[in-house]
Amino acid sequence: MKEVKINVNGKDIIAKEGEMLAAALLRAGYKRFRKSVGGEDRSLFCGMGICFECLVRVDGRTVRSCITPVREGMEVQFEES
Amino acid sequence: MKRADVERKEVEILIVGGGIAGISAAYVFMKNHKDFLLVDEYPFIGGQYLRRNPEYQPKDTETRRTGFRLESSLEGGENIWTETPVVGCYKEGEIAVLRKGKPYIIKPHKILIATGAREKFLPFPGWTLPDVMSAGAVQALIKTSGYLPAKDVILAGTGPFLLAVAYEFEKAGGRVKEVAELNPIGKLIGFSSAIFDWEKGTEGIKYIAKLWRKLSYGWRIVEARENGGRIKVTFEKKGKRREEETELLAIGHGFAPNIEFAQLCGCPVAYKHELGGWVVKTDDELKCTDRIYAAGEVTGIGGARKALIEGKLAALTILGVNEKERESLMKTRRKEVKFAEKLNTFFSPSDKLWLSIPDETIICRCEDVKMRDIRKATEEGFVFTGEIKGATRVTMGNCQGRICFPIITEFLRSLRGEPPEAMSIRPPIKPVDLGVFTEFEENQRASKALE
Repeated sequence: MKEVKINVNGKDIIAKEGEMLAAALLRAGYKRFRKSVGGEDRSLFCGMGICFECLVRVDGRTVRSCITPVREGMEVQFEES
Repeated sequence: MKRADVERKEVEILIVGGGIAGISAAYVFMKNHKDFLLVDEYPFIGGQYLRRNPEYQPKDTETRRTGFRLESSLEGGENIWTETPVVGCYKEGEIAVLRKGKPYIIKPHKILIATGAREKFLPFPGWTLPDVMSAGAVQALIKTSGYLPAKDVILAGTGPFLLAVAYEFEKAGGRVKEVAELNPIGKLIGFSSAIFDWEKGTEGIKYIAKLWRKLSYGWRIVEARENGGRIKVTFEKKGKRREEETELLAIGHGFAPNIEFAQLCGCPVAYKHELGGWVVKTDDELKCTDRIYAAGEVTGIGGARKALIEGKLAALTILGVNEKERESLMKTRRKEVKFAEKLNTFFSPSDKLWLSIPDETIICRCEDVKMRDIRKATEEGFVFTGEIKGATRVTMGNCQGRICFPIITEFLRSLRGEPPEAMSIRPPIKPVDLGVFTEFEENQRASKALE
């Protein structure tokens, strides 16, 4: 797979084009994707678009990172930040 | 009134879901030069079973080979819409979808629902920790993204799917520390010899040959804790406890059909424990209502081979052709369903386990509702799903009950001997930006006003 650059919370990381964003984030060492209602750290859980635990913001829209393919130049922000 | 920016499209047949059942049907329509549209919310077709990755395509079974063949003959077609979740169904049978964020209203003459299934879980304290994920997520990361999420893993739960994921984890270069099957081994051996199936049996033997030293039986997870960047798992069996440490804990306790869209379309559903829980009801030819048909996991958990057969059968029923072939498909389908019923019944947590989920366990991950709250609501006399929802906020988060409702269903069924009634479903069935949803609503009103 071709390598592409994406931006996570202001920092550039290398990802593989077409892989799921959640995989790119985990590979880059980001494990805690969001805080739950009760303040717990949450991460990827179901991996197939069902549980909504892996929500992040991409170019201003909230997406499920486990079913969102990586695209060159995408701007990613974690929900809590 | 300003007409909202929603494109409308008429089509003869709409297929919702591009997994094995969906592409099996689409292939029949394509061969018969029928006007159809297939929508799937994933960026690829092939569903959970194929999980598109050009670098990872094992063609070890006949079912998988057929799946890849169907997929490659369909993908890229202009009537295959990926990244297109369905969000609503209006009274007139008009379906609201978002194609890569752009709203469309599809007006189909017939609909085939092939929305597949999701994993089911028997929760325990700590199942919400990062580094605890579903077995399906581990498989998805490996297959779709070529990413191995940890160096070592413990897989726990029930069912042959855990073995498949363990096998793939090792093939991808990881180390499986243990595969902990809830059900006792004696029961398992009797079961396997009673219902041996050639294709599934050989697949199982391949997994067991690689993993047999790592298999354990009858242990359940008491809790998982974070410990210096790793996960500490406490197992229990007949009062005995042991602790294991792992980088990643992967869990799975079977599957539940994705019935929400079918419910929204007014299809009848029923609870069938032996088929994974709530399923869409169809006749023998997979017809649900006048214009709606269903195929694959959504009619009952049975795996890819059942989905392949049902997709084809539903498509031929819709076309009203090949009566002989339909009859033979119905016959093989009945065999598949029988096999599935035995498998689902066997690989299922016992009622006792559903009843003994500890109070402090989070059940609804979206709203952080704990088992204590649900017990309390049932003890206070709340009976109906809607009442328990009102009292506890379960099923009210982003996932709309897709993870917690199967848990609550199994808990209440174990408690009372019968399942609660199904959840009521309202659009949007996937969370969408409010602006987009308003556009759909306005467009519906405007087009009705014009008629």
